[in-house]
Amino acid sequence: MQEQAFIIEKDQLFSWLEKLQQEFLLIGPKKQEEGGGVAFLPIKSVQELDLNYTLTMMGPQIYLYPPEETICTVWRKDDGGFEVRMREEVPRQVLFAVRSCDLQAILVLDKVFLRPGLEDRNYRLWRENTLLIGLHCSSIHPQCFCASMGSGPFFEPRQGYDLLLTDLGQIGYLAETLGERASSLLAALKAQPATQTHFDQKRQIGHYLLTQFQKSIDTTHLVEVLLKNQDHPVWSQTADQRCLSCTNCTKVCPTCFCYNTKDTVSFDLVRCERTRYKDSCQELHFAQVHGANFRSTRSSRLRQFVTHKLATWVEQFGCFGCVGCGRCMSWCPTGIDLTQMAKEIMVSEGLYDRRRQT
Amino acid sequence: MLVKKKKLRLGVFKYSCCAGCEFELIYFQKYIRETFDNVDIIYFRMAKSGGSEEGPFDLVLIDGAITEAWQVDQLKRVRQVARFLLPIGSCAVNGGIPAIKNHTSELDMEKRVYQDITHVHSIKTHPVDDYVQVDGYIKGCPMGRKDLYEAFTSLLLGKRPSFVNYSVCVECKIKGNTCVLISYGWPCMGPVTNGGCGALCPSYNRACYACWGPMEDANAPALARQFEKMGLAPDDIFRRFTQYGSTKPEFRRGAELYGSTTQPF
Amino acid sequence: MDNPHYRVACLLDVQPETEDTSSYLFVLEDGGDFQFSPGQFNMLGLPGTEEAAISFSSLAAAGSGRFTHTIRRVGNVTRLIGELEIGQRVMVRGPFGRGWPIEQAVGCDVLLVAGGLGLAPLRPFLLYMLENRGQIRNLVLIFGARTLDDMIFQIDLARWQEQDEISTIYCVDHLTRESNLRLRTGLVTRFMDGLDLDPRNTLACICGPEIMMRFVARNLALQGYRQDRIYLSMERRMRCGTAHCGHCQIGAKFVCQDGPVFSYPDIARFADTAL
Repeated sequence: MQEQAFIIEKDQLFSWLEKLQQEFLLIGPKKQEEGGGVAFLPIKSVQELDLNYTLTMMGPQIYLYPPEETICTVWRKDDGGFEVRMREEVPRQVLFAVRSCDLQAILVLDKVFLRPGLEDRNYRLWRENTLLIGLHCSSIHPQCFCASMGSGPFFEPRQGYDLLLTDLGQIGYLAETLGERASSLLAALKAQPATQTHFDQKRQIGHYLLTQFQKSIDTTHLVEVLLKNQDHPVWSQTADQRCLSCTNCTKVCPTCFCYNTKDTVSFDLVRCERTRYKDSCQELHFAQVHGANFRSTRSSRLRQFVTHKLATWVEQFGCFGCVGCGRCMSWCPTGIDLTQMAKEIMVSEGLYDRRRQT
Repeated sequence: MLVKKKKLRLGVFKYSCCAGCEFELIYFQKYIRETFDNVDIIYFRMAKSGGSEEGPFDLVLIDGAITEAWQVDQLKRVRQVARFLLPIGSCAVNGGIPAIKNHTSELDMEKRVYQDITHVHSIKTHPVDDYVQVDGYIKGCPMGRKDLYEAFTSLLLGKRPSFVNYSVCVECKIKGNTCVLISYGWPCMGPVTNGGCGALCPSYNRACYACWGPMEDANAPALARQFEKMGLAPDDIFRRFTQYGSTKPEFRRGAELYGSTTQPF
Repeated sequence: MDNPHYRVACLLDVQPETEDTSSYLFVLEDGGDFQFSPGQFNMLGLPGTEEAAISFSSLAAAGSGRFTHTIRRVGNVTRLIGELEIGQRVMVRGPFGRGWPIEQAVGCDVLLVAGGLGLAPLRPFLLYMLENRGQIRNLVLIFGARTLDDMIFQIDLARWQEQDEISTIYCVDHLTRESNLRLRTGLVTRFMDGLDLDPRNTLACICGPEIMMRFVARNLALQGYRQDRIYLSMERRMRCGTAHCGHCQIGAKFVCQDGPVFSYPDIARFADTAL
């Protein structure tokens, strides 16, 4: 993979983005009206961008794996056969200012949907047509714990993105490219190559950010401990007293990939649209088959969420399913915190000192 | 051919309600031509005079809650001649607005409404499924069009309809709405309420007031306690869980933490 | 392979098995070949019904593009398949999953335990072993159903009970009427002692309701059968078959990709099963 690093002045970057808009749909963090938070939305003018955001409700991955989309349309032909039409094209888009945790989440989704030999057609279409530009955080939200999950505050893997930006203040952005697509798009800028000083500055910012975290979780024995405690009382206590099964945690989670399919037929029954929408393991009917529901209790569903993110995911995909973005606890109406549940289990295993809990 | 060209024989029966769901059926305009092409109206008093109660029906839609004894008798007769019977709208599904009276004694309520109660023979409000077996629920206030569409097309296709059964939060998240419960601290009933409305109220920056009734297996006590933490008074919490659907155990469990849902006759 | 990839199959023949269950023979409409191994499954669907995961109940016939599913008509997909006439079509994706561990049977005793419709995924495995009988030692089939009328593949059952290559035990919960099948009364676990099998060298394959598999697997383990050679076929809700939709997960396992056939210790370590 071709890698280059430049220094881009801030004005320069914005005018470059404006040029990109001629070819791509620009999607970035935008302040919503009426006191709402920042959300990833289509950007008309680059002035709308809010680059100091810390946490959006929905991650940028909704533009790669939409919460609701059509898989195919099927027509019943007169001869009794079927004509299946798949989605052939998607708009070309730029996902701009994606934080490290969300870049990691997209890497995780890649592992799910782009398994060799088992590629999800729609996801691949979206992914291929998306230019992914990361922007490192310059402050840390109280709910963030990406440092604990190894997915931040700076994005370490050299894969998945096209361009990775770090805000160096007055100097501008340190821009690290990956692959030819980004290099050729940046060529027109004639930006100055970055030097060792710039990388040193980046490292210093990283060290500073690491001191700002208020939330953490020790992942050393996490997998074994959670798998050993599948019957721990914390599941049923939290489920009965606080969990609403509203599925918010899974809907905002940037790595949750489960979907359900739904067929909608026309009244003449000739045309059928097969859509998929993001489903949730917290929903009562998620594991229901004819005559049985394999996770009929709320506690079993809550356990599924937490043990999947923090334990069984590692066996499935070789990484944690949690990227430490803090969304599930931020948008839980009763504030259920999966790190607290994990810590409670570790306390009962004698692995965690209760006084140290943050 | 799997695609059958047989019209559905439809019956619509109305009990205690505002008739909004029947209007919703009449206003099913986007599909009005398709509906008339595929549905034979056998009994539907609001849309067509006459008609036979005797059926037989492919599909019976029941609008309204049961609050009088004669309604029970008719409902049971209709069930026997209906292949599919679906309660439509909150009143029929879970008692809806009429069930608010269940938390006052029946006599007090009758006296409050009528000067002369000698001819009034009301009973406590019950949803349709308290008396007969139902084949699903078209929830909503008024009933949801998406589910109505699903019911018609499924029956034409010969399969059981699958209705929306997740919470309102799901639709807020699909739309990317700002969460009014968390961001503004409003007592939104979305987390325990059945979706299908497209998160209508939260989309206009209002808290959901549960007009679609409880989602199956909703954990209302947990949300009620959360409302208390947020500073809502006990009688406010009680009202939020008894305004719609207090006949269902899901909401009753939440309401009973803050008031009594059982009153003497 | 790109997912989803739909193919169209045409219904060739229907063989009634019980009151609500039949075997459906399909052939691919595109004339292509269709290779699959015993224990694998297809996602079958019709426009408007979504899809259901159904395992193969026949052996693949090379080059023919034919396959058989034995289906109980209980859900939307299965009921509408039940209404198909010969020549009508379904949408197919597959084959998916890992089937029975055929290679592990070589040189071993083989025990098959099936309950109810659970015989369907085991049937192709049994047919394969009868075709390759020389590669294995003793072969025992224990099949239980509620009553005689709930027993599928009765023609096969009658043939197998007369064959020397296989020992059979058929049992029912209630003996309702006599037939040419030699039936015993009781649950399958009642007839699992003293089988002519070497516990240290037996491959046991179980398919049926989860609670039945629980008792059969535990019974075998108590008798000293090697647990890692006990295999069972799990059933879960599925939407994709390609480990994307997440519905079929049991702990770290995707039933659609890592299964549906699992070794007993590999799947019993996770919660949310009856095992």
